[in-house]
Amino acid sequence: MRNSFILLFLSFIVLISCDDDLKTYPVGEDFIDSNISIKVIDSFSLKCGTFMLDSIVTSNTGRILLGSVIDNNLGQTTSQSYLKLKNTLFDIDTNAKYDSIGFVLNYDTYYYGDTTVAQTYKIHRVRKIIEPDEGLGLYNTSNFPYDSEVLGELTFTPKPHKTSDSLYIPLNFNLGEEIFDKLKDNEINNFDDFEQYFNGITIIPDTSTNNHILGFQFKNYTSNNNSSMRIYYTIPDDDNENNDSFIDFNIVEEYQFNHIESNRLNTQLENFETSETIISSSYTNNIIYTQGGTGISARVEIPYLKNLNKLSENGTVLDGKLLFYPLKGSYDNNPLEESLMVYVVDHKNRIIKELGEAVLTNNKYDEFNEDTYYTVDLTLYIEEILSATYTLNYALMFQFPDYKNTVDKIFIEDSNVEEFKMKLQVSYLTY
Amino acid sequence: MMLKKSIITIFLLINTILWAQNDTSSPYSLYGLGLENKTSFGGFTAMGNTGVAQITTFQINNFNPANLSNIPLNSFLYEIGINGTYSSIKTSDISQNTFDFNFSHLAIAFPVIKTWGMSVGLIPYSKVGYNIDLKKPIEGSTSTFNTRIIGSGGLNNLYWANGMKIHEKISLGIELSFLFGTIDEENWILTDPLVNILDHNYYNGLKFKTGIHYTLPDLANTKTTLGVTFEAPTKLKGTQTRNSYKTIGGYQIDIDKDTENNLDDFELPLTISIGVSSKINKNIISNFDYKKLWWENTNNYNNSGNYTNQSIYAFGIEYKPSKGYGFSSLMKYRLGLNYNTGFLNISNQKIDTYSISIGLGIPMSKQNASNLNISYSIGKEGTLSNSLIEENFHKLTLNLSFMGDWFRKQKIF
Repeated sequence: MRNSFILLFLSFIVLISCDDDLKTYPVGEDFIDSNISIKVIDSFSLKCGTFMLDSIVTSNTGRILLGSVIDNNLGQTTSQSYLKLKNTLFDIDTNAKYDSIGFVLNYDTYYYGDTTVAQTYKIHRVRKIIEPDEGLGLYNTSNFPYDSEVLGELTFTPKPHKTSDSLYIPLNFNLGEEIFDKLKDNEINNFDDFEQYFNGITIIPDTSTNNHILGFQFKNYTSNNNSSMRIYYTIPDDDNENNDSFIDFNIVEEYQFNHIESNRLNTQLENFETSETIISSSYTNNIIYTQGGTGISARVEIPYLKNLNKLSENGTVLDGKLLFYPLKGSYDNNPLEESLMVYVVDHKNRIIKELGEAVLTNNKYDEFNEDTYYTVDLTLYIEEILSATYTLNYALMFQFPDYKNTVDKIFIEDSNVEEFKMKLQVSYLTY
Repeated sequence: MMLKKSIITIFLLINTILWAQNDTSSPYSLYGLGLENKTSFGGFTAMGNTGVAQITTFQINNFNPANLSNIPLNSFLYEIGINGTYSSIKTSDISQNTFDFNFSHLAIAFPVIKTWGMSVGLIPYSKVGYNIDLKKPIEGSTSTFNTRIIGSGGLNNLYWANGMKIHEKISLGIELSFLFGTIDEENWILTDPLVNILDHNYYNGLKFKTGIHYTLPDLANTKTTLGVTFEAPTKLKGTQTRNSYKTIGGYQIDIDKDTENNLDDFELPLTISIGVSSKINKNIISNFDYKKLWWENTNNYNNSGNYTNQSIYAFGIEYKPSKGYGFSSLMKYRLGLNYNTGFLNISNQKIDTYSISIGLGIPMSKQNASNLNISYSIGKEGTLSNSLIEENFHKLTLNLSFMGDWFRKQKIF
């Protein structure tokens, strides 16, 4: 009897315990003694500088970059393109009659600089098979020998806004005839024969004025809106008037590359001796620079980041972000990229990894007041630095997402001007 | 057989008390060691938690160990209790209802010799259960963050008490308590990344209590007893095991992994209880108790509130009809009042408690030595003013005080 009572008690407990759930009470700080606090720290010192990447793989990007621009800070940037060509037709009607040869350059709408200015492109014949020395890529610094003789040239004012527009550069008549005859006479029967005979061409812009750099598109196959070398011929016929034909010599995508040169003579960025050279922002008017194509890259180091570990025994970093401002007035002609890529580099400026994107925020308050800055989340980066058992001499590098085939630039403020100060904001939790 | 069964049952109950999820949900339980267990033995709960001076022969008196000297020879007393509390908890903005269930105690007592009784029991000492959202500003920014703070656990009191009659009218008692238990505090910092901090705070320590009963000469059919107990200040040692992590980009990164920290000792204050109990015409028992805890002499510290001395004023009365007919004449009717000033001063506001209780003692044997005691109390703790919390509670207590006789090996039911 007694025990059954106790059992009854126990079952009562089990029944009741189950349907309970705790409620939450929002209370003020007066009520509870909580040591938990979060503060935002943004007083980190930042070491800003600019360096230049050794070389950039510019082959196989699908874009021919041509032109020359001059910038007070970055000097003269010139892009010349090397093209390996591949014929698409080896059998030509024996009655066919050669007409002319030329080069079609089809806009891909990328442009940089002042497109109202005229420019002259000159085409030369390359005298070495275009292929990498080793590995797979050709670089912005790669060179191949070419004839000094100009095969063809064109002076034009660009309209680079439609992919259906193109430039046509007439080439040397005799060259076309020679190629045509070799094809017709079956001296060239395959691509290898053609490549041995004709190594390729290079297109060189005029560098005497500051104008523009344009992008042209090409494909591996014959189609519309394609850049290629083209031989025109006719097949005489009795009754057909419409007997014009052409052979396309398409650009071999894999080995097309742009040779991009940066001449910074008499600029503040003149002296990049090696890729390890960092020019501090204090020598460059408190501005750091990033330019696609040339590999000029803004670099930010957070030298005392690891001191966060000493801040508190009961504390931890919640998140961190870096905020930086593009220099006002430096992006009036070419709009700012929506995002920049952020890479981790070491003390010798070797790229360790890709970290993420710095995203543009553009708050327009009124006609005169706007807040334009980039932010990048550094939470994982900070975590890595803080938890590393040894000191990582890492820094951040900013580049354009498509820096291999653009020559865009961005000027970034360092920590000098209060209003546009680059700053690291870290949320730090103590408990 | 009986003995074996009883022991198994007792173990089961001890297990339940120690490990059962004891549900308490009161935001006030975040202070000190949590909410003090206010349930007492037998009919005392219904009498406003009075009984320091009351002499009971078939019921263990947990207020004063001196009473143990009154247990008749050849008897064995058990005491188990449970309670359920229905609370409505209000802040100035919200109101919520909760139902909590708790095991209140388990104890046994028996005589050693005619004038010396002994008791062993396990009583929850305090209970913690709260779930609080705290909004705080982020320093150096204009935004805020929320922390959800979840407390659970509590301390247990395992006691060993002895009471001895040293004179016809004077009994002395001594009680040694081992207080132990874990209070968990879990903090969810609701930011991105999410941070979780879980502290296991383990406390333990010893507590001494002495008590005296002094019976005055009868006066006009009234038998009056005075009772005093004295609890020396003591310290509970605390150690903390902390685990914390943050979740960044889907990864859980440990911040603290079983980090051991020392906690400040928790000091229990000097406590003195004084009571007067009168038995009038064998029908009425009335108790007046006053208890004071000198918290201000402790070094316990809390940022958000001050410890203040605590006083408890209580009155209780029990009526048992004279022998009559019917079951109702065998019952005991009880009533009690209790005012507790509380030990905390938050936002210049004392967190005090008023309660009123009624109860019945239902006899379960002819000798009237075993009782099922039921009590119902209503009360109010705290206040709505100064952004605090008011808790209105209804508490139902059920306990069994019954007498066994292991030594005679004879069934009484």
